[in-house]
Amino acid sequence: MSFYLLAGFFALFVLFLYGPMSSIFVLSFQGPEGGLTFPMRGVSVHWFDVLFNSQRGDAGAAFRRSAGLGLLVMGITTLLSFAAGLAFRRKFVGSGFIFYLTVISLVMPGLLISLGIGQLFQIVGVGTNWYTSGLGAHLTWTLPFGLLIMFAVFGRFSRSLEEAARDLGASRWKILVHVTTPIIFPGIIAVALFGFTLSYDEIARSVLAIGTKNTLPLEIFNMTQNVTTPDLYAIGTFTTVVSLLVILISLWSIAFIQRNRAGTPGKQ
Amino acid sequence: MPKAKSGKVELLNVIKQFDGIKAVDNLNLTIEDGSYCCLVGPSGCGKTTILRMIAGHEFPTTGRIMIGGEDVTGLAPVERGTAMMFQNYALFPHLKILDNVAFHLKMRGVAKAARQKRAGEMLERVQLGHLASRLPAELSGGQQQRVALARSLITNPRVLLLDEPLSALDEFLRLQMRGELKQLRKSLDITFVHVTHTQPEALALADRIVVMDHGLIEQVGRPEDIFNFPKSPYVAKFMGGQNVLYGSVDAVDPGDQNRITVVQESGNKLSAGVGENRFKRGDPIKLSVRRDKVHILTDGQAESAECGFTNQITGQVAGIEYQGSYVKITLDCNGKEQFVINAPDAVFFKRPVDLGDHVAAGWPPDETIVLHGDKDSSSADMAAG
Amino acid sequence: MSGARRISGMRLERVLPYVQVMPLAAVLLLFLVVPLVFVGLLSFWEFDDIQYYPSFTLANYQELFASPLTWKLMADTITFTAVVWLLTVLIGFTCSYFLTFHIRTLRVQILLLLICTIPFWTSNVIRMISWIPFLGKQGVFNQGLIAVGVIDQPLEFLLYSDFAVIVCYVNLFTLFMIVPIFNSMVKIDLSIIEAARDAGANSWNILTNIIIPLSRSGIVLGTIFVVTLVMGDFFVVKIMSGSQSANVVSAMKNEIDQLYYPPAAASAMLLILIVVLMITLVLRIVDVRRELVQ
Repeated sequence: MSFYLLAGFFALFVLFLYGPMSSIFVLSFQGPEGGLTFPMRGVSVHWFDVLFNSQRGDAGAAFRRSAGLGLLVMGITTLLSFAAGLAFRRKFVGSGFIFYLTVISLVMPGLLISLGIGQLFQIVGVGTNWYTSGLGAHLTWTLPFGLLIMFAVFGRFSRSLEEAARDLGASRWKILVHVTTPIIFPGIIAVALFGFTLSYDEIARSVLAIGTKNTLPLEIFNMTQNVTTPDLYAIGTFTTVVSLLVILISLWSIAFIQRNRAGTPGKQ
Repeated sequence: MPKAKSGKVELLNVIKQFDGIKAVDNLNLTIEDGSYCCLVGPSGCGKTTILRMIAGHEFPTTGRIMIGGEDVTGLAPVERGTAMMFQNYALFPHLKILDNVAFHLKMRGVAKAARQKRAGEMLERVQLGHLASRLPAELSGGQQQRVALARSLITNPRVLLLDEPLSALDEFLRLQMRGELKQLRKSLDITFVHVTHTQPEALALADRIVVMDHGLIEQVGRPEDIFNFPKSPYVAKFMGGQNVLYGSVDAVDPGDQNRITVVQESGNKLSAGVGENRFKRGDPIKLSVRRDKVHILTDGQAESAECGFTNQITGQVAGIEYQGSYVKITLDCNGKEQFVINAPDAVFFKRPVDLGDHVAAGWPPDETIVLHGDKDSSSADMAAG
Repeated sequence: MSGARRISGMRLERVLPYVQVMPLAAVLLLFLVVPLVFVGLLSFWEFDDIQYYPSFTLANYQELFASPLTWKLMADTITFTAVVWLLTVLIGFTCSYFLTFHIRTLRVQILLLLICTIPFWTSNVIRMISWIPFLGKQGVFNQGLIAVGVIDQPLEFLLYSDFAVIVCYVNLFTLFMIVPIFNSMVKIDLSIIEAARDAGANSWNILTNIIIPLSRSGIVLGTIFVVTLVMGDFFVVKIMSGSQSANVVSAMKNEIDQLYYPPAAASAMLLILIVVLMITLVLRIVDVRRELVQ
């Protein structure tokens, strides 16, 4: 009985989580006469057409910038988190402080960081741009996630595997390439997933640090304040589909690796 | 004697299924009030399930469980008067030792001062009074175990249920705790039900042993009976210390229906007493003999019947292990079953044998036991030492 | 020769961690520490409605603390945070409890947890605006209620109100509670719960004496996330309230939009102080690294 009560509660929560999202998905296919709310007045891809082919906005370019920045952030986050994760396996002076900074970076309201970076770049005279100040601002959001995931990954990683490889004559570099990295690869994919999606959807850290050219979330954010037609939902559907694709690819590759490993005898 | 206080445990036609698989299969068992009963068997034999059903942490699919004559089948653990000591102790990690022990009293609404006093006394009883304000993680394995014991005993149980209580301890502590359980048993007039997969533990502690396999009871009895007179090859192998021999009835002694001659596949003949049972020529039969009743024979002994070792077997020495007070000699007989002899070390070193030697071993026919049942599980082979 | 190699190997061993952590540390220094220190400096700059220039004045702080608006914003921020915290803790705890103790197989557990976390990787703005067709006057919710006959006039308070803001916050942030609470709850050894039941604890006792205390670190971590996310938000509160409500950060954003940088920096400093204090406190209660590893 308590099972059904809790299961019902959980189902309601999932509905609460996904219900509204699915309604904008449906509404983005409004007919040309349709508005921001139900009922549907026909079904069309009219608003997607408006989105990418009208002169008003800059959705296509914004998307390309966002995707580019996301990939850049993803690469740097993965590399830096992996390296730092390796470092944190040993004790070193200042490790506590860097960890503390990471946590601060994680919970600091993004607008404050955005404000600081934006103003600093203006005053120094470099000027803000998505691939300089914007990139740095996004990294303060993705790196903490990357490092924390690496902690979790290395915490479950048995040191004896590397020691065995060393006993067998592998060099430090070879151990890294042939033993450590392949074993923790699912964790690295997870870091990459966080790196891309967090950057791709970020607003607060972008708003004052990204420069004059908007990323996609900023474009959407601006649209929420002045667009009253369903192309707002069209862009929402579009960007959500992109996110879902990235999530699916990541989860699928993690599951694929795990399944292959489970199939190998001697591995649990 | 007040009936309600009795710690007699009865399981009546109990079946327990998990996802359609029978973990316990139509089991009937009575554990007398005040006895120390050990359930032994390899892992997965259903012994822990039985314990958990007595405790009320699992409910039988069908059948009834009685404690002290009353039906407790659907009752919650606390209403049964049982207390369980968990394999990993299951101490509350966030509570101090004192509060762990006092937990039951807190649940019953005993005032803080009173429950702490009683818990403190209970801790003193297990010699841990000085650690009352520590957290479980700060204690050694042996100490945690005593806390778990104290926490169980404070409920004044009529049945104490022990789930592999000694398995997480090292050898030294295990022997010490074994002694303490015996002490405890003397000072408390309650029933102990103890689950273990270690035969020596059961032999040392129990006054009643239940040997289990695949959800069924193989044999119930006093430790010495189980050890000396195993009913089936399975019990003989699982309890250890026995050799199991296979053959068929060659002849029944015309003068004494009790006495039969058994022929092994190799043609070797053995004599045995069958007690109440009657066999006829050609019946397949299994025999057992205790490892320490078998002697390695000199050529002279093997020839003569005077020494009484007329049941004999020959083989090649495949292993010699020094065990301290005795030496374990393994013989390879026709490359099939292995045959083990435990020889006192003084006897062995007086006339040692070497790996590869062909030797004859013998024992008095009266030491030969006729086994029943065809239960011959390989899991017993794995478990036997 | 081999002696020299051994020494260089040992030296490398000692230097390596610094080399490995350097890039991350450099990014955090350059894009977190320096900018925030700069915000600190900026908060002391002078400002005369048209421009701002380096100086050292406490005027921005005096104005900040003297203004009754500051305290009202603070109070509103705290109210929003408290209400959202309570709701997310209740929902997050209940869902985690369901996943941990009522779902038997690990596969289903992981699957359901994934369903809860997937929206985390999608856009917050989209998830926010998706409430508009839902809660609006012509929205799904109102039309549904009218169709069923519960009401005959659409409810006005559903959208562009504090209600909408809170619904949206809960929708966006509950998963930040579920994941850490689930993570600590799933580590509770089931035999501990059986031991408690043996000792006479009923379900309520087990919840209050065992499960809640042992989920504490998860609740604390989730709290930190939710509190800082609600405190740091500036667009949900603006858009979902129809610009009727505000909090400290959204007010700061308004100041920034009007190029009032030094006053904004002063309120920023106040927030930074609060966040840093909170984190320092939390890191004392919970060992985050151990939480992740176990």
